[in-house]
Amino acid sequence: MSLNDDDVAKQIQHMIAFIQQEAVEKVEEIEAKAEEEFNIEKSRLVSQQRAKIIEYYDKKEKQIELQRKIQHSNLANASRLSILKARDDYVQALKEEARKQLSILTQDRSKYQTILSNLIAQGLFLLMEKEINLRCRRNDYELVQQLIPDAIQRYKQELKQNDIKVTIDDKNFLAEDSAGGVELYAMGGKIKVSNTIEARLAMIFNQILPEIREKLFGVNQNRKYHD
Amino acid sequence: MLQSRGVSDLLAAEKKAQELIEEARKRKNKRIKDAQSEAKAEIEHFKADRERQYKILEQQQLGNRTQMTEQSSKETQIQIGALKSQYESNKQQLLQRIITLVCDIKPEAHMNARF
Repeated sequence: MSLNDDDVAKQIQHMIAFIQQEAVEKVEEIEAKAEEEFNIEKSRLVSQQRAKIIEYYDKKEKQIELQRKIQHSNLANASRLSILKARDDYVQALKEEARKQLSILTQDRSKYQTILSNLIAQGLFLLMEKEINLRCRRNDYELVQQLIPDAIQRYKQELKQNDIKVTIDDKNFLAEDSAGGVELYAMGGKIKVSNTIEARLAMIFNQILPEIREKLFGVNQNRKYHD
Repeated sequence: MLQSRGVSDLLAAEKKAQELIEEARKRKNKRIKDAQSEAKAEIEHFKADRERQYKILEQQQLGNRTQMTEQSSKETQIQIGALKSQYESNKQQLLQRIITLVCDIKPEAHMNARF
């Protein structure tokens, strides 16, 4: 039995249609897959890069914040320092004022006499030596000479020692612009007692610094212990 | 004769089908390559946005910087001014105290030397 031409032609048409159909389906499949892989690849790349960029800018923004904090801290520091410096300047100014006033005071002869006499006596008591050399201001030379006997008297009375010799240095003097007082030397200049007005001022000023600071700047709130 | 024509038609259809499939594959590969360039474009866009955001923050910060400095120095000046007035009002009293202490000299023998 042979197929007639029409049947063959029809068969062939069917087969061709089938082949075409298969091709179309396959193409659709490929295109769908293409789209899918495109999307996957694209979103993979995008999110990978995105993560990097976000990390980068986050870090940079943190840097900005850090800079801000650093600047704030530096400003606070500088401010504190300049306030502290201003305080110190005022304390020094006070000391200088005191020195000036003491200079003026020592020009009052009667007051200065008492002071000088006490300073000399105090020096003798501190040294407790047999031979003492005094150094004073050039202008005070005569006054000191007058006051020495009295000081020696006081010394002998208190300590019941009789041999003490006090000389005034007539070659070396205290500076002209010093506020006054005396320097006492013993053992050939090896022991020195500096009983000048400036020396006393310095010592007393340092000792009452806490009081000065409190009066000038108020009680320190941050201080924990007071003794 | 019909047979050979039929067969050649089939072969032609088969060949055409293969061509279509091959083209589709080529398009697919191109599409996947496109993913890279498209992704790159998108990322560049995102990056530009982020950069813009960052620049705004930076500018803001610069502005704040000068403002902070000014404020800090203003406050410092106020506090230093307060110091001055406190100094002036307490000066005399303290000077009195200092001078009294300096002039108050007590010549005394050492404790161990007294009998």
